[in-house]
Order: sequence, then C-alpha cells, then structure tokens
Amino acid sequence: MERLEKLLAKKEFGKNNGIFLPLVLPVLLVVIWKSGCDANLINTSLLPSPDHVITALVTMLGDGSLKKHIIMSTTRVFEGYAVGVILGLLLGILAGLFKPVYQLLSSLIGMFRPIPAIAMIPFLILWFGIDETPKIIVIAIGSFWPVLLNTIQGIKSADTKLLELARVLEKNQLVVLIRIILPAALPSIFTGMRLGISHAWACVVAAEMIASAVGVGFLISYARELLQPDVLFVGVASIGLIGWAIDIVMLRLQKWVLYWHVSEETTK
Amino acid sequence: MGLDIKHIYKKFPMAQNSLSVLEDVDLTVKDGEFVSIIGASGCGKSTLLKIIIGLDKATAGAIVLDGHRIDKPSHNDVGIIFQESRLLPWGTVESNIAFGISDKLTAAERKKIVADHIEMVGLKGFEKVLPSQLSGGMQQRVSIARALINRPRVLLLDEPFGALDAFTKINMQNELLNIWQTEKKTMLIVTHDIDEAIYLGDKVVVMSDKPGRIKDVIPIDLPRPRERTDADFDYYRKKVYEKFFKQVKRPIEYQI
Repeated sequence: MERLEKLLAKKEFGKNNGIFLPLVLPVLLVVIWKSGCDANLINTSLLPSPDHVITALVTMLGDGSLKKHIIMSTTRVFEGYAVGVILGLLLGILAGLFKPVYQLLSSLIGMFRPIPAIAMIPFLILWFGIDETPKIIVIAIGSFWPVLLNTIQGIKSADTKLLELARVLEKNQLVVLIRIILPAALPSIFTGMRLGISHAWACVVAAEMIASAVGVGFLISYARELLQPDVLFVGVASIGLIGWAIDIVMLRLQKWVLYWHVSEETTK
Repeated sequence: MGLDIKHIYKKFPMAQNSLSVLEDVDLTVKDGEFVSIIGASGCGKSTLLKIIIGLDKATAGAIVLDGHRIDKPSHNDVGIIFQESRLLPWGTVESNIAFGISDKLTAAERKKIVADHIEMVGLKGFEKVLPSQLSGGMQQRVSIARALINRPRVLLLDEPFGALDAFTKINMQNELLNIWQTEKKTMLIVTHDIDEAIYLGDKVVVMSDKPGRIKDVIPIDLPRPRERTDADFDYYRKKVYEKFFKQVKRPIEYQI
C-alpha cells in the first residue's frame, strides 16, 4: 500500500499516465475479444477475430479501396461543413446583434431544429437526385444548427461592462464588433463548430448508407449486404478513428485561437 | 473654469412612482483639484459619475466643463477608471492600453504614447502579458494608463482600489497622487473608504443616501505628502466618521 502511494506520488508516473491510462481499456478489450474468439465463445461469422480484421485492413490499404472511401467521405464532410459553418456564422452574428432578426428567425429555428438532418435525406433525394448535392446539403444542415445556436449565444454573451467602456472611449460600432463582441463570442462559436463537425461526420455516413456508390457509409452498408463482417468492422472502426482525429485537430485549433481562454477542455 | 456639477437630479421610473437617486447635487471642482466623494453604497455616487461622463442622463441639471455642457462621452474631456479594470481578456497589456486611444494617430505616434504610458504606470517589461497573468493591482494600472492616454482634462475614479488588498491599495494611492501632481489633472474619486477620501482629496464631499444628497463638504487642510498616522489626519477621520455614525455616549464610570 505504501509502495503504491509512493508510486502515485512520483512525478514520472503522473507524467506517463496521460498516455498510459487511455490505452488500458482498448488493449483489455482486444485481449478479451481475441481470447473469446479463440475459445469459440464468439461467433466469428458475426464478429470476426482481431487478426481477420487486421488482414482485411491490410488488404483494403493495399488495394487502395479504404483510402478511396475515406477521401470521398472527408471531401463531402468538408464541403458540407464549410457551407454550414459560413451560413451558421453569418446568420448567427446577425441574429445575435439584431433582435428583430432573431425574432424573425425564432419560430423557424424552433420548428426546424428538432428535425434530425438525416430525416431530410428522402426529401433531398426527391428534389436533387442521388448525386453529390443532397449529401452536401444534409451535412451542411447537420453542421449549421450547432454553429448557428452557439454563435447567437456567444454574441449575446458579450460583457456589458466592456461595451460601456467602448462607449466611454467613443469607439464606433465596427470596432466594438471586431474588438469586443466577436472575440467574446469565439469560445462559444468554437463549441458550436466542434459539435458541427461531429454532426457533419455522422451525417455523411448516414447519407452514404442511403444513396451512394463510394464512401465509408457505402462501404459498411455494402459489406453488410455481402456478409463481410471483417470489412464492416474496418469501416465502422475508421468512422470512429477519423471522428476522433477531427476532434483532436479541432481542440488543438481551439487552444491556438483562444490563447487567452482558460477552460477545462482546453487545459486538458 | 473647471467642472461644474449643476443641481443634478436623477429619478428612475418605477412601476407606481419614481425612485429618486440624486437630489440637487451641486458641486464645483476647480481645475487641477482632487475631490473625494464619500458615501454608503447605494447613495448614487456611481450614478453621478455616469452622468458626469455622459453615459447616463440627468433628470434635471447640467454638467458643465470649462463653459460647455457635457451630455455624451467625449474622450478628451473626461476619462474614467472603474472598480473592475475592464480589460479585454484577449489583449496584451500593450494592446489594452492602445485600445484607450480614441484620436487618429500614426503608428509611430501610437507606439510612442503607449510606451510612455506603460512606463508611467510602472509596467515596463509586461507589454506582451495577458490580463489573466497580472495581479489585481497591475490590472488596475493598465486601466489607469488606458484612461490617461487620451489626456482627458478630468479623470473620474469609481472606487478604483475597492477590490485591492490594503497594502496594494496604499501603493496605488501614492502612485495616483504622483500622476495627479505631474499631469495636473482634475480628479474626482468616489469611494466608501474614509482614509482614502481624506488621504487623496483636497476636499471630501460627504453624501447621504436615499436619495443621494450632498450632506457636507469638508476641506482637507493638510500639507502633502500626508501622513495617515498624524493627529491632524485623525481629526479629519473623526470629522468624516461623525457624519455617518452617531457617537456612542459611554457612561462615565466605564471610562478609566
């Protein structure tokens, strides 16, 4: 017990467990999974063993098929996300600054926000066919809402004491917007953008599962049809890993842009 | 010449009637004079400063500076230091002070004037530091530099050292007096600290509350630099104290 306490008190342990602890559960999970397969406790035609999955992964990396699907999906995500973020920011800033704009939009926001973007896919296919347009629009809708709502929230959160200071210093409206209101809104905007990109990623998979011939969503629904659980597994795992990677990049970006902002998430 | 606060009334409309915050506040501050206004919280002293700087409108009365009326903020006339430093959290010391500049200046002029003011408040070496990395006293120095950078003729101070610890407070008061003596500005400080009011002011304006009225104006006839531990200082302390609290009459037998 005393030794354990000493070990915990040691700085070196504290330094390493940032990398070490997050790895414990995944490794444990793979070990259980592998031994379950070996002991015939897991039906490998439903859940293939880890080595089968790795073989499938190597094949898919070798023939370039995984790369093709991933590049297609990420391209769609970034196109749709860009549209969603730009619209969300513009409308959010306007609605945050001008009460009439907010009041004008409020009923539409209230009505359309609860509809999952994915539920719009049938309509969009009906209107735009099954090419790229409906997919981009679904992703744009998915990322638009969190950006819009958090931008409005952020703009409204500007400190009235700083606004009063700006009046004393006779700053014009543009200076107030750029130097006070927008920087104050940035933390909230970033929260919206992080939520937005994760929605966008979920939307692309759904859209591709419904109507597509390439992309990660297509990959998994096709693998299910062909009864290839190992390929299915690679597809699902890459969705998770890419989503995770995107969030890490967003957090880094946030820490860099919001250099002054000390929050629990950015100090991680 | 100087700052004339002419019969200011301020009423806030309420549901039924109206709440009178300031009633007939009439005061003349001479050029270069340091005036302390002291009163309990809620006596409308902050409202008075807001009216002087043009952030708020008086119900009746006028603010006249060197013969012209003030009814909106004007950076060359009046500057203000708030109790909170009100710094932009995303700006460095340098950019926060530069944010105070309201006149159009060239880049070189801006740089020089910012550097001068950083030096004046003793923050040399901290130019690139963010407010969150500064102590409360240093943050308030930044806000003093920012208020002075437009060279306003009158500087208003709204309980500027109220949130600082006792030692930092005394240091800041001395530095403020240095700035006052070198810059020859008219200063008007609002405070609820009796020592601070006497230490800084050429006169102490005592305000009553609900509604805020000038109860008394006490000229402080002490040479500068003043000594807080002097008997003369104590005389004024007692005089101001008596305006707020009734003297407790102790029966003679308890006094030894």
